[in-house]
Amino acid sequence: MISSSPLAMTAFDYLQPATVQECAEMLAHYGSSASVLAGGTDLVVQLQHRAMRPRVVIGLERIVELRYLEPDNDGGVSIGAMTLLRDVKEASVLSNGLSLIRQGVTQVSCVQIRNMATLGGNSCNASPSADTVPPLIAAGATVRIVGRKGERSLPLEDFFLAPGKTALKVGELLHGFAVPPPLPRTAGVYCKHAIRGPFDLAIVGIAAKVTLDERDRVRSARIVMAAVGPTPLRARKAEVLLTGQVPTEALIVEAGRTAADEARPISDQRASAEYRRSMVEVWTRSALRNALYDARRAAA
Amino acid sequence: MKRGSADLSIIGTSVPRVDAVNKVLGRTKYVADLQLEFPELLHAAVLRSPHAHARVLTLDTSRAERLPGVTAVVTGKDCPKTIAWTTQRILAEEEVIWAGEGVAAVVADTPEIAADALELIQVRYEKLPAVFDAEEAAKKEPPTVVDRNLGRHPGGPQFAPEFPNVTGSYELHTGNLEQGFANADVIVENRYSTGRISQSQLEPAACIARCEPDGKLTIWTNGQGVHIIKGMLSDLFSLSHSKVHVISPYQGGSFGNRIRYHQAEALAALLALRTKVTVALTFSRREMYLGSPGGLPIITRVRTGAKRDGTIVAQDLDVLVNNGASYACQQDGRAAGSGAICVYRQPNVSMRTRGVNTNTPWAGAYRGLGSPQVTWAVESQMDILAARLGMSVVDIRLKNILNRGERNAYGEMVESIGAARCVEAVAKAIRIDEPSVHEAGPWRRGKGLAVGGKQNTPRGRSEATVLVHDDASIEVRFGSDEVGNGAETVMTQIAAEEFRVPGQTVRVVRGDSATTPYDTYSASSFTTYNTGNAVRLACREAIGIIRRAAAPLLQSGEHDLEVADGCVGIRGVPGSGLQISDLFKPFSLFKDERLPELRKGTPIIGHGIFAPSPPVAWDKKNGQTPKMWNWYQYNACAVEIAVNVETGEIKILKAAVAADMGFPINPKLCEGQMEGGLAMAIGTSVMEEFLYRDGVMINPSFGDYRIPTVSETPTRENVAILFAPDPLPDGPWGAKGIAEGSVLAVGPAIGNALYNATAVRVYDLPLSAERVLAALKASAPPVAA
Amino acid sequence: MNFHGRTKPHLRLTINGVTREFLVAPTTTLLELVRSKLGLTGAKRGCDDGNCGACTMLIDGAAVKTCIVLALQVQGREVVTIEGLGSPQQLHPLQQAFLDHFASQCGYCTPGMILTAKALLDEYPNATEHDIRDALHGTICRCTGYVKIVEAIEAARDSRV
Repeated sequence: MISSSPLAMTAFDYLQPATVQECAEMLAHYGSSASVLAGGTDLVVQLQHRAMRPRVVIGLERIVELRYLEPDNDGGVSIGAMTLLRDVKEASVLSNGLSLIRQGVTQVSCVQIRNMATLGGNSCNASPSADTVPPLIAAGATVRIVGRKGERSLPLEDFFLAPGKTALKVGELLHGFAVPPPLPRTAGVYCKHAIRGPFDLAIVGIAAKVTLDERDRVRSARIVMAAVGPTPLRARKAEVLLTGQVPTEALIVEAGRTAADEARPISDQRASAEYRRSMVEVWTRSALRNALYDARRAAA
Repeated sequence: MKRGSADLSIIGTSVPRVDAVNKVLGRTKYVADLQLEFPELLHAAVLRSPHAHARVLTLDTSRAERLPGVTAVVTGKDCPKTIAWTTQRILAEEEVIWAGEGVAAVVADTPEIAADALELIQVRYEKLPAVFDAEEAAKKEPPTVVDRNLGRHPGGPQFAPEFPNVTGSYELHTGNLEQGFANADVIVENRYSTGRISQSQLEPAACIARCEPDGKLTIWTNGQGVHIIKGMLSDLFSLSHSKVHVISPYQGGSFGNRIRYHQAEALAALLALRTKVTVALTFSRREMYLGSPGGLPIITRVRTGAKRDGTIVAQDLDVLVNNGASYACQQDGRAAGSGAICVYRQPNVSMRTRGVNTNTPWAGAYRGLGSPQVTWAVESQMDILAARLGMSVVDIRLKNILNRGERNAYGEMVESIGAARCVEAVAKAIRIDEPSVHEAGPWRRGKGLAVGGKQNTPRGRSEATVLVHDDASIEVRFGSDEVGNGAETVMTQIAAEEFRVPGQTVRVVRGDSATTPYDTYSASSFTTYNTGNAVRLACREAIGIIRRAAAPLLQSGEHDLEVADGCVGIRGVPGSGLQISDLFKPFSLFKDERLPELRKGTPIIGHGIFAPSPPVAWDKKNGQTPKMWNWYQYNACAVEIAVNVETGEIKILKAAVAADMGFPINPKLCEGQMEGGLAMAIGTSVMEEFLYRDGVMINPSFGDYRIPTVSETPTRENVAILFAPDPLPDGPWGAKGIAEGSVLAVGPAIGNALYNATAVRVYDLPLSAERVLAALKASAPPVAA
Repeated sequence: MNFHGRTKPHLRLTINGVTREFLVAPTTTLLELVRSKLGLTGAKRGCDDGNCGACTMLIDGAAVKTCIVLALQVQGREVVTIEGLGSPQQLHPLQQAFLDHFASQCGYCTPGMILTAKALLDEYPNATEHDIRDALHGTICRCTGYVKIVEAIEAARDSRV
């Protein structure tokens, strides 16, 4: 055998359940000695670096039930956990008030990664810098979780507990995301700050979604920040600042400053905490300006 | 047939690379691809120190040795002592001096078992004080001594014993510095620095080492210089040269990284000799950052004095080169310092260069050998002076650039210098006199330019062998490298030109210490010059043999004959030619003929040896010499950038690069070097740097050590590549080299453009977004209350 | 189908048009499978974490970084490697263009670059320079500075008209 790498995984068994039910049984059986493989773009790297040493890897690629992207009866959209990022990127049903979801996905890495990575995998990996997550949270997405004993759902923003840790209990699997229909005059933007664009992990990511009322005041706003805390963070004070107000440039600037204060960045090899904080301010302003511009032009 | 440049048949033409067909088909074999050919192959892995400086208290390999599938575990005590001219070690023994230094290596049946074995090795370390800052390390009483073995080898290099971490120093004094500054109308003094960088070539270090039953060592490696490696391994393991065979297949880039002496080949050889089997050692990308030689951080303090008309009248420089834990090739910083001497007229200059060790991964040859880092300082100074004097950035440079026939501050005669025309070419291409158009929003645009020169080390000798087979096909054998530099193509062109045949008639055999003659490695941009000249000489010897064999048949003096298109004929007499293949008489089993001398099955062999004239030892008092280095290549760069004043990001919108390479043997290959150098230098100027915590590199991956993707380079129409060659008298057809020039001037061009856009100057590379933003904020006028 | 114990599961894949069957250890990446079991060494490893793109192959026509794909993940799918494109007698238009435009220096990134470009042009025959830059964003070259690579892909695009 030839090897071009001194990186070497520890041995594991590979299981390929065909249905969600079969998968749930396996997860309950193996518990924490199993890792779940969606697209592999995060997990396989972790396996190679021996950061993960599961006894069993459960590959989801055979479970067709987990691949869906369709409009719901109420005008929202449901997206299965195993939907490829490249398919989310091209989904015309995610338009207008939901187009920020596509913006997040488009700024993940590169085409080769988007051809394998999945929307569910990006959330379950629970990296604070994940680009697909803030737009989904801003859009009000909930997650549908299934286990042997049934289903539950949860707002996506409550799904992340710590870096690498989600609210999934032993035996549970992420089935998919339910995105509610956006209100009229809603628009959202995702801005990623990274030196080499999508290729890099975000230094800071800002999703801003605004809904305007008939008098162009902010009816509601959601600002979700990536890479400036242990999980994606809502900038709630900044949101409150904007709500009910006419969004002037001065208000936008203040919202940016407020969001920066709410961020809890650390310093690491990608950026210092101070720089991250500055970027939250810059990109919150920019995201708000663009979202407001789009919302004003959106059909009532 | 006349031999003027107008009559060149293939030299100066962009013939397709001879290795390109296999490369686009994916058939080219690199070292790791050869592993399949060795069914008995075992795999090596290296345990590396997590600490920048520590004593190794205990090292217990017994559990690893007992693991089924493990053949051997070696540690520092199993390694031979290093050879005299370097203090580098294969594996650490009592002390580790950088985070990433190897402390043990295992050989196992599979990479998985090797990785398991590493985890079973138990090491206890006692952390020791470490020094990371070059200026701290260079003091008389530094926080710690990095390499206790420095200076203890007989015949070792120059060093200053009272400064325990200084590896060497050099001083140059020309004219009267004090007088010069007294006459200056304006004086500018600053401190510049550059960060630690990595070549980051795509193919990681890889070796396959095999020990034969008779004790002979064969090693396939992507390290550079098969004969140099052979010599090093022979010395290290006390094997005669005939017992060591080094082969280098195609190499996936280098930019200096593969001139690495001990870390890969020596370890692979040690493991093979110990286990008596075939061992593959391949570095991970992380190991490339931690355990292979990267590029030197350099601090340059410079004080420059100029007259009102822009003439430089005095320059005082201190160049401090950070070698990491163990110097590889810049022990005294002299090569780096040459960047400050080879471009401008300097009647009064004082320069001190030093190399220093720190507890960081060892650094070595990186494209430009320190010249780019010093050019960063010198070219920033030039723009600052221009601004103070109200002069154009072009005029101040043209005023001071040396001319052919002058002597530079070393005392060397300037033989070839295209720097001025390079400056003019890029200034025109970027329209430096037209200010950038400003746009609304946070992006500010600006333009800047710079020029630089890079020395060439007159190193050793190159040999080449040229065979003419009985079908008149030509085979060129040489021992240097094909790292992507195009050496095989250039040697093909040279032989084709000498024999006046199409390139397809020429075949190249390269990189095998048993069959290709002595050469060093492809470094310092000197392969076209050194190996190329050797190939020419070998061709001429072979041509001489053909002429000698044909002369009696043509009833002509041999000097009246010439060779072309597979024929040899009388010059000026068309139709007089004989086919070269007809000169080879059939082999006869029964007759014993001494004449004619050429026989089928026995090729004509021509051999060429080229050695550049050696340097002349410099005067110990003033550092001067009529020959410090060989020739210089020059390069200018002009850019238009956009700076985001809210984020500090820099985007390179347009770039013009002009090169003086003496003569472009293959214009498209030259363009490729220039475009590649531009991208690489954009990376090191704007986004690449080693980041450390306690001396441990925290970004050893392509994800976090930011080398440019296509998106960080200008679009195609915004890159201008220009040639401004000034022929070198003893270069092949006037050719010098080109590989390193294009990284020289990019950094300062960007820095000068940053100033042009924002009136803010940053003195430290890289111009990362954080650093630029901090500088912009620091200089911003205070907001009114 | 579930596999317990340290067995090597069965894998069926079509590689360059030929369907093959293997028994693979689950830890085997697609990259190592193709290189080790088939001796197709055109795809390379250049980094530790799916960044450089030198391992790119096409899976069902889409460009994928195979150093971070487990072979068992792509059961039953169609894989194309650089060896599946062209021959010395008849280069694929992209290979010819890379040759003609000097888009390869050390050659290490070349197979990945060509396949990434092929996936792009197969889906977007009229890809612009902007599209090409987007598609190549995840495939790194250290030698060429990308200029001639983009030029070659544009030439290959234009030659198909």
